[in-house]
Amino acid sequence: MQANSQKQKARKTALEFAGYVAPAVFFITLFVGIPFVMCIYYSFRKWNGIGKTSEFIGLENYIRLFINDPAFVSALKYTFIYAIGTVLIVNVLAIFFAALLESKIKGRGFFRAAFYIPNIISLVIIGFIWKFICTRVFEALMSITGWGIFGLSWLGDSQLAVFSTIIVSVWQSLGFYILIYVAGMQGVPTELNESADLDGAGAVRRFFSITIPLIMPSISFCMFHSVANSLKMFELIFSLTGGGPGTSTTSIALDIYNTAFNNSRYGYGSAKSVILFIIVLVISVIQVNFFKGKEVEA
Amino acid sequence: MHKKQIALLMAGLMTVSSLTMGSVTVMADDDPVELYFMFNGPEYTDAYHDLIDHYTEEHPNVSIELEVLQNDYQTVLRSRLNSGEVPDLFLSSAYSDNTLYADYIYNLDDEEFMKNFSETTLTSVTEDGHITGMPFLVQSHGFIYNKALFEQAGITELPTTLDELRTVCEKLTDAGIQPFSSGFGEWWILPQTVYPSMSDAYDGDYDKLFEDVKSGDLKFGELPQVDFALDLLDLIKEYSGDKPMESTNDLQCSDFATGKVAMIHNGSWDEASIRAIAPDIDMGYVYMPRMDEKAVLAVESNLTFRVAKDSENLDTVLDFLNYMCTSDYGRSWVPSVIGDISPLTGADAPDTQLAAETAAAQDNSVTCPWWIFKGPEGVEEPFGTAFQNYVAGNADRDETKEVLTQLFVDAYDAM
Repeated sequence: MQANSQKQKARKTALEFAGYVAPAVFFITLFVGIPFVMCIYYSFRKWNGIGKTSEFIGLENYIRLFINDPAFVSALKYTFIYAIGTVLIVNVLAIFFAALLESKIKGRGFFRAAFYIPNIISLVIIGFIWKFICTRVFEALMSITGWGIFGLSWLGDSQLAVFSTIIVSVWQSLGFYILIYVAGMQGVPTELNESADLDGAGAVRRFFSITIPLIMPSISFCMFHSVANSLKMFELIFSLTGGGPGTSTTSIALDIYNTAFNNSRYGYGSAKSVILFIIVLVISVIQVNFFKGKEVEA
Repeated sequence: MHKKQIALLMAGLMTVSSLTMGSVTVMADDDPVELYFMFNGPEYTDAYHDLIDHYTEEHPNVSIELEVLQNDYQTVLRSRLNSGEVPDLFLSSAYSDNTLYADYIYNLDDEEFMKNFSETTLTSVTEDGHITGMPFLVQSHGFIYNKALFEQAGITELPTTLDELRTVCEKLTDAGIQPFSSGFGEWWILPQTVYPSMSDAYDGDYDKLFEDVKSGDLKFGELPQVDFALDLLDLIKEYSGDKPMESTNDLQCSDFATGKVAMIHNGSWDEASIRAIAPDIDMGYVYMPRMDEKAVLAVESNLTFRVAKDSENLDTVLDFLNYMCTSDYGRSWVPSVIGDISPLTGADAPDTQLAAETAAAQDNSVTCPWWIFKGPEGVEEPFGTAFQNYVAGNADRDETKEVLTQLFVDAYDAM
């Protein structure tokens, strides 16, 4: 009798939970799930993205992708450089600034807001603003100051443009990661720091031996978030450099867009997105496992 | 009611309401007609509205919803078509777009108003004997030059060959004027810059050219005109200041209008933007040099109105096109409101400077068609990017030629 009512209760709870997540499940299925399945479907077909018919071609799209597409290889190369650059710089800087903003410096409320503001502006707008800065503003500054740094072609030189996309991304996303790290640092128990202080540990030592291990959950989240985001980056690069000069800053996402919409090869573009999905998935899983293993309890 | 129950109820409502949201339809009487148009070319937005206002004034039962987009026009149009939300009337390119949109297009073969176009005008929209759309306007592109600056540098004769163009650039530089703003920052400007200069390929028999490319008899990169085009780009890059790769169309217009540069490669559509900054600037066209030393201006009616064949109000859409071709206002719309050349037979000439120069070039038969659009669909972007990689120094001459050959092979493969 009792076992039965317990079972009933469990079923009721399960139903309740299902009810709560129903809206989310519905929308995710509609806007992510179904398009994803369709993307896999089209990746085995030849379709121009408009016509009412498409043709099944098996693995041809995937084979071409691996043996005969220098554009995809170069996009892959750029995306990895961009991802490694942004992930390292943004996380190191964010931890540094979070530590600063956690210490008792003047005007930290102001700085927290200031760092966060770029994050609430749309990426496309950010791209256009920086494009304007790099072309028109730098030109004006160059004629006023004569400093060589403003005379460089930040978006027009193949190597510098790669660097520029990284810098602007870091500038844009820094506030978000600072916020996560500040929250993580506020969770570090003060008595640990105090007793370490009594034991004679300096600020640097305390930071590396107490703060860093204890904010590992924040670090693993930020690493996961920044890696996945930078591998999928599209809007910022689209509006800042358009992938150029030439293909110097064409990310995989931008290459997929060009393939599917500008070159009218929707099926082939779909195959590329499936590969991008697998790359992001594999890297994320490895990385989450790695950082999870390093997390400790206070 | 229990809090939890309320929450569950709300969650349920959210799910249900999102399911039903799309199915609410407004029942309308037969009389009022609602049309949905989707166009590109935001520089013509005011002109579009002017046309629609004139039409709806005469036809009060018709209301037209217009959407104007630029950069992502193609992408948005495609997603609309795929989702079944087909605009009753939309714009696209001519030539390869005739077949690309074939599943959605209503052919205008039997429409009386199409007789207002000459047969030559209709070649760009004719596919297998069918008229697949209505030409919008005649546009041209070449080097737009500032007449006052040329005079200031003591240039009395316009260049017609690559060597003469170089001499002009040297003279301008000596006079302290930057010759070009390159436009190399935007991939679509590069194909436009090079293909007029390559228009003597196969002596202008482009159908044969693309046949040979398709069959593999011709490797596109091995055309002698490709070398010539690369020389031209080298020259433009050399005389485009310190940051040639950052120049985009808006920078070209402002650099040109403010007198910072003497020449830009672009088209008649830029005249309005330039005049918005410098209303009285005196400009004209320098024709694009070719290997055969016959310089040309690229002229074409490429933008095309497409009627959706599944439109519920097909008759009204056709009446709208008829209005454009036969009414007094409709016939003067392109020349006087837009300020470009109308493809209609016997229409007025516009009073804009570049349009007048275009008409002069047409009269003297020193024009070339936008022949690159006769090739396979989807080549424009990789074609532009290949040249962009060359001028950016990412690829050398031989690599560029190989990429050019390959992209045509890929494009035919994908069809």
